[in-house]
Amino acid sequence: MSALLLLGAAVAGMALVFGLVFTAQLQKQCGPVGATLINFCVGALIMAGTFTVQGQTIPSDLGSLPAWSYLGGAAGALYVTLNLIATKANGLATTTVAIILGQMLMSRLIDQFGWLGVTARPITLPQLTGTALLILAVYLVQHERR
Amino acid sequence: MSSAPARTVHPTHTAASHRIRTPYVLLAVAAGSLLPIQFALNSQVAHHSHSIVLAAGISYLVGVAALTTALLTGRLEPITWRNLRYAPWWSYLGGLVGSGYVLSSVYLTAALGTGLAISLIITVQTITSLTVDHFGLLGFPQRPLTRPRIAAALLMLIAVTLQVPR
Repeated sequence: MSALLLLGAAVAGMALVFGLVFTAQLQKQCGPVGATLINFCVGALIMAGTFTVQGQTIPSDLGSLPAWSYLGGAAGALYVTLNLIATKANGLATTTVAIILGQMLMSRLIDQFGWLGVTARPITLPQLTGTALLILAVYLVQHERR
Repeated sequence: MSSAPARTVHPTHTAASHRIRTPYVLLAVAAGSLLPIQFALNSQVAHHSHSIVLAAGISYLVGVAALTTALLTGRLEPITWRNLRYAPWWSYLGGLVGSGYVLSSVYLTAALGTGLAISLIITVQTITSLTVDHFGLLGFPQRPLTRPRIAAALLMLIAVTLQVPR
């Protein structure tokens, strides 16, 4: 693995945290929903700009997927809003660990049952162990005493 | 408000302003469960349109529409945009940084495979959030690095490594 890829992973991981940290500043002034709305408007503008610069065209059959396929952004908006609310209450690290647990639990469910058009892949023992360890991790941060 | 009890400061609570509140931990778990749903749906759009940028753009627009609809129902607290002038200029960069993440994560997943990419990203994400908490950076309240926090971070890294599909 090249150093450049490692650097890329570091940038991506930090981008996740700082995206939230920056948006939390907006949350102080206009609440979690307003902050998420601004965040998504900026994101939409950047993607529109990137798309234009790339010189791509919108495919004519873009709308031919089932309607629910396009609702990813609604889940994303709800995710950011809830993340902001939870982070304000419990801080970044605790919320991050809990979010990763939720992420893993749902990934396992989607894989297990093949939801949302994903190929079904039954859970493996290491994955089950990993999920149990994550629950323990959330328990630890949740019960920490100063 | 008239029936609100007088504010009393319990000695056990004074030192525990950073006390972790369980309902918000569960809220975060629920929030996290939305991520794979978003990922699965956006992947479909990206695959169908042959463009990650287009799929991400649609995702953001649908998010804007969903939030606007939620606000128009009038069930949410109305937003006071007036106070936005007190927000530092860099607070608007959340969307920029977030879209940078969307694009770089796609590139990393292609180069390293999903498992390794996710493990690396989550590792950096955990260390960064512990650091911001520990030093109380960028307007965040200080939450020092305690032993349970270190233990939880280590457990999580093992857990994430175990999750990697082989």
